[in-house]
Amino acid sequence: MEQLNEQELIEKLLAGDEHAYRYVVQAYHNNMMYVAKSIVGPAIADEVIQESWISILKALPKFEGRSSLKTWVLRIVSNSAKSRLRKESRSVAMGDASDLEMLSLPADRFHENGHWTAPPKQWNMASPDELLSSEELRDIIYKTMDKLPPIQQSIVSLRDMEGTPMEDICKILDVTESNSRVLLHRARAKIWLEIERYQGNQNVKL
Amino acid sequence: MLSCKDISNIASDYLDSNLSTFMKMKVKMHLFMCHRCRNFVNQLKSTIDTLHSIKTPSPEKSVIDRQVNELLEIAKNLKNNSKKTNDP
Repeated sequence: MEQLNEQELIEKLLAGDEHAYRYVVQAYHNNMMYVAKSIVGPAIADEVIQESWISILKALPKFEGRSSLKTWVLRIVSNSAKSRLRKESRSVAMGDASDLEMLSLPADRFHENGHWTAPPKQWNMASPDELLSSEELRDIIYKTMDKLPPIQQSIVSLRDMEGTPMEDICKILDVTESNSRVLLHRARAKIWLEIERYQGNQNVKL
Repeated sequence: MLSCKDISNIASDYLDSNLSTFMKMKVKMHLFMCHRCRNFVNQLKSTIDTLHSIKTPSPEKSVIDRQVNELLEIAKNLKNNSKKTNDP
């Protein structure tokens, strides 16, 4: 299934091919969930995903390929989530200001004059290759990601893991480019902190 | 002068080349003098490069199975509905 180009994948989806369904669910589901949760919160995200899939399968014959299939799918999730909020007369609260005022690193890492109180520790595993070779570290990254606010999960997954253009991400999540950059940095900083903590513990053990 | 705390807040913009030439120069000057921040920025870069090399986690198999079944069900209903509307 990996070798299929997008056109072939779409044809298979239109034909109702179960393997193609499985492929897109595996590849898109978590991102669909992050986006839905960012907009409506965790309680009804599942329902929004089901509503989205109905819209997606209905609209697929008219898909024009102006964006990637994944971006198109995620925009439908975003629209379903927003219309759901409107129905429930709730306002969209994404990447709100209170979240943006927070620092990317804990305040106690710095003195009042802005110098490090606890400077970054030396890493035993410093290169990406070394970091990638540790399964434990990969688990730590995924676990940290699990704990991030959904909007940060969306942005770090779409931008850093999948290379989606920032412009598309901003449209999907309805955030400005500057806010999305702040949220991306915040997510990366939390992951950095956990890697640092892990490497620090390794040093103690040695 | 940028403080270490400032650097910690704009390190991603620096690494992603989203700073003005002037700000970029100010960051470079700070990094030249501060090995702690140099350390931080290098480590953050490794973190980002690592994120580039791993995939979004996949859903659990039970989640995939359930979702695929729902898709098959949705597709069946859509087909039935379109048949009904096409029938005279």
